[in-house]
Amino acid sequence: MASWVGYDEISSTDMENSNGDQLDDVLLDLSPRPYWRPEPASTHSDWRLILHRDTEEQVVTGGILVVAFAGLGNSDKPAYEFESVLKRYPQTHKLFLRDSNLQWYVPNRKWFASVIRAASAASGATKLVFFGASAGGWGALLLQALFFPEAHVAAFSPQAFLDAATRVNEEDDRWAPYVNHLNKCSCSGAVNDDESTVAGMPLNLLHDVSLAVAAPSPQRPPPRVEVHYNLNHYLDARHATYLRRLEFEPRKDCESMPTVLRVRCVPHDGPVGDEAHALAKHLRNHGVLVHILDAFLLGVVDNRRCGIGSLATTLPITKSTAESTLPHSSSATATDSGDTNVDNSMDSKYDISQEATPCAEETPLVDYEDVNGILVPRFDLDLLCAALQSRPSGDVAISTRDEPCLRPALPDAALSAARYALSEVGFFLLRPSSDESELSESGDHANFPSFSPATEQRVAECYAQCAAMAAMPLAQKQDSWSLEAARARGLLGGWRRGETDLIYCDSFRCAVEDVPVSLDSVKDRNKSKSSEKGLDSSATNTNESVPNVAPSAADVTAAAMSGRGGCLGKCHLWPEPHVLPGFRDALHGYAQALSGDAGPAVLGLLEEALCLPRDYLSSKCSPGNALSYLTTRVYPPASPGDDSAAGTLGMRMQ
Amino acid sequence: MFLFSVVACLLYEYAHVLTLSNILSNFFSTGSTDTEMITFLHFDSPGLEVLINRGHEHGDSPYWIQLPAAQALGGSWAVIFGDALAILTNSAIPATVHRVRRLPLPKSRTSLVMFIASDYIVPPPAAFGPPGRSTKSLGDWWERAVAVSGAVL
Repeated sequence: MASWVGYDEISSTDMENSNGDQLDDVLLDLSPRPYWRPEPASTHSDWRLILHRDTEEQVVTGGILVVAFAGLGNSDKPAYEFESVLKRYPQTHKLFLRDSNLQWYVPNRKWFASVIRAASAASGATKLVFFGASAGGWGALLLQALFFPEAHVAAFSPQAFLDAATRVNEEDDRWAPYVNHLNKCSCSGAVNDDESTVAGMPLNLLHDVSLAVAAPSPQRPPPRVEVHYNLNHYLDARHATYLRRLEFEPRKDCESMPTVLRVRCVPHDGPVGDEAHALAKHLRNHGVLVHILDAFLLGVVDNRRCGIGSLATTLPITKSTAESTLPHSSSATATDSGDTNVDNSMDSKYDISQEATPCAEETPLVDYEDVNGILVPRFDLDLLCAALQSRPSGDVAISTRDEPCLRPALPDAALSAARYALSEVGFFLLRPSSDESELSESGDHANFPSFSPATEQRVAECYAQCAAMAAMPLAQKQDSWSLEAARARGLLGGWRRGETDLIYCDSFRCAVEDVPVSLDSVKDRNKSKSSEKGLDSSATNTNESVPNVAPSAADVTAAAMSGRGGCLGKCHLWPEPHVLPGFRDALHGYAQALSGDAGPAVLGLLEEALCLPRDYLSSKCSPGNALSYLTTRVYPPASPGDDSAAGTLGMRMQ
Repeated sequence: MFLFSVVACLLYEYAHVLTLSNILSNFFSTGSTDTEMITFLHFDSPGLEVLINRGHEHGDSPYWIQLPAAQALGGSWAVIFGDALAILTNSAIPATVHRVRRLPLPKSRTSLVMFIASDYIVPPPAAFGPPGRSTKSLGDWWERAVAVSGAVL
């Protein structure tokens, strides 16, 4: 037992009531920490345990064991991290870990796992929570994926990959001496770990480690895994983007909520420059970290936000149970410099004295439709518009002092469904509106008609008009409304026969706004717009010689008002009203309604799902801009003698 | 003999789709993406197919699924994602690959396709990585957007 380092840490001054003798029996079976380091061996102890004890110095078994993984630090000896901030939670057991070998907990992962198991057994904890920043965040994610699928993880600026190939591809050369050693080390026999060969090293969370092991079972709610990263640190953002691919775990056993939020990536508007990587420190100094940890631990206690699939197993949390189970102590005060900026006024947002509301199992905003074996989210346009109205101004997903990051406007179920659709399915469904008055009041584009209560009737009218157009004699369509006929009148054609692929169809196209626009005005605007956009000025696409600006509705209108001629996909040749009565109104109204209501709503949904600032997408899609348009297509039926066309595929068709 | 019978039955069953053009199109039609940001689709008959990429990172092959008519989806629109969204997110959100299969339907198939386009696009924010990683550049997008807007009619 002499080789067991770290034993003396138990009775440190930080934990007056700790009693190392009680842990001795528990930890006796542990083997010494193996050696793995490019430099001479370290003799540092790599763990420190603080148990929650009652007034009689008896260990209070159960509750939460918080494991804090330290990063590399700035010195030869990594310091334990999260010590000061975790003092806010005296009712939790705490285990502090560090890898003195500076090897991201990889070679000695089994040893660290054994420490955690021993500490868990000693504390009797029922829930594991891992915190870590940078290499500590990596360690937390790695250990959770490999050994503790039930553990909840909050990682700050973690690495997602350490393997040489991905690092080269992502141009990440940070901590090169240590990471290179980890990649190429042939320290045979140096490690007491039979999987410590390079080939067996888990150095990539996406490829080497299957986070699927963390997927929930009916008996166990899914873990809560959050990755906080700094938007302003390019490489950290890349790592987070890498992890974002792991966000969702489809569940085929749950029809109503088929996805599990496996990893939640939370962007922060953090510092720039040399301090950009130190996101946890930045959040701590601005009083945000404590609120993130509060919310995280509160979520762990009541299973809130632990994953969409877990909600069915969540029991309602009452005031009494919340108070008795939450490890937060409002009387705890920060005593070291790390927590001097705690803003107590924000405690009300996470005040446990408030009656905790049970997680909503489902939201009427979204349900799922089985489309040939794929569960596809279906959003309700009405409810989506209403929910997006409550969005605060500014960057809702970027944490600030006044608005912590975990406050999206849409419920988790909707965000999860949207991300699932974006990353897994490739499309989603949108249920039409049913209340015209509500939409008209809430819509941002009152000049455009909303969908009426008889949306089906409007759609049916479009279908009828399309059929009527298709039934018109081919010669008349070619002579009157085609591109050639339009050019003769200085306009663009509305009708065409689509036959770009193997399928031909009868097609008509109309713009949302049918007014002329000058190409010269577009070019002029491009120049001015490029210099106006902040993002453009910071862009590194210097090789792009083509302007990235297209005309908006304002340009179109301005061009029309100025009387300058020339159309850019705007002036279409419509059939005369006496030939096809109602044709123009039906199609134009449909296009305007979609562009004015459904379009902004869907873009708002995508902004929320992608953690983008409000209006980031919709501001680039003004309703009725030059490039938005409606195309109708009528494919003729397959006649009995025309079997050759059946089954053929068209590429540029819908 | 049994194998011959099976093949014969399959040929008889699917003779109407086993034309040369069908075979070629099935092999070579990889679908396409829309230039715009998002597209609202409403159609009265099946035929649209969407490529599902789910699980490809774990080795699963992409596969096509066919969408039923809007009536079968409660009158809902199908919303797919275009190149502009892929560029803005640096392909974190890939554009939806889709195609249309002509089915032997007794009636015509009508689709209402509403393209919501962006006025302009900019390089993606840092969270999505450096510009240029998307499969289509800003210049490519602009050229195609203008072409679709004004020339292809």
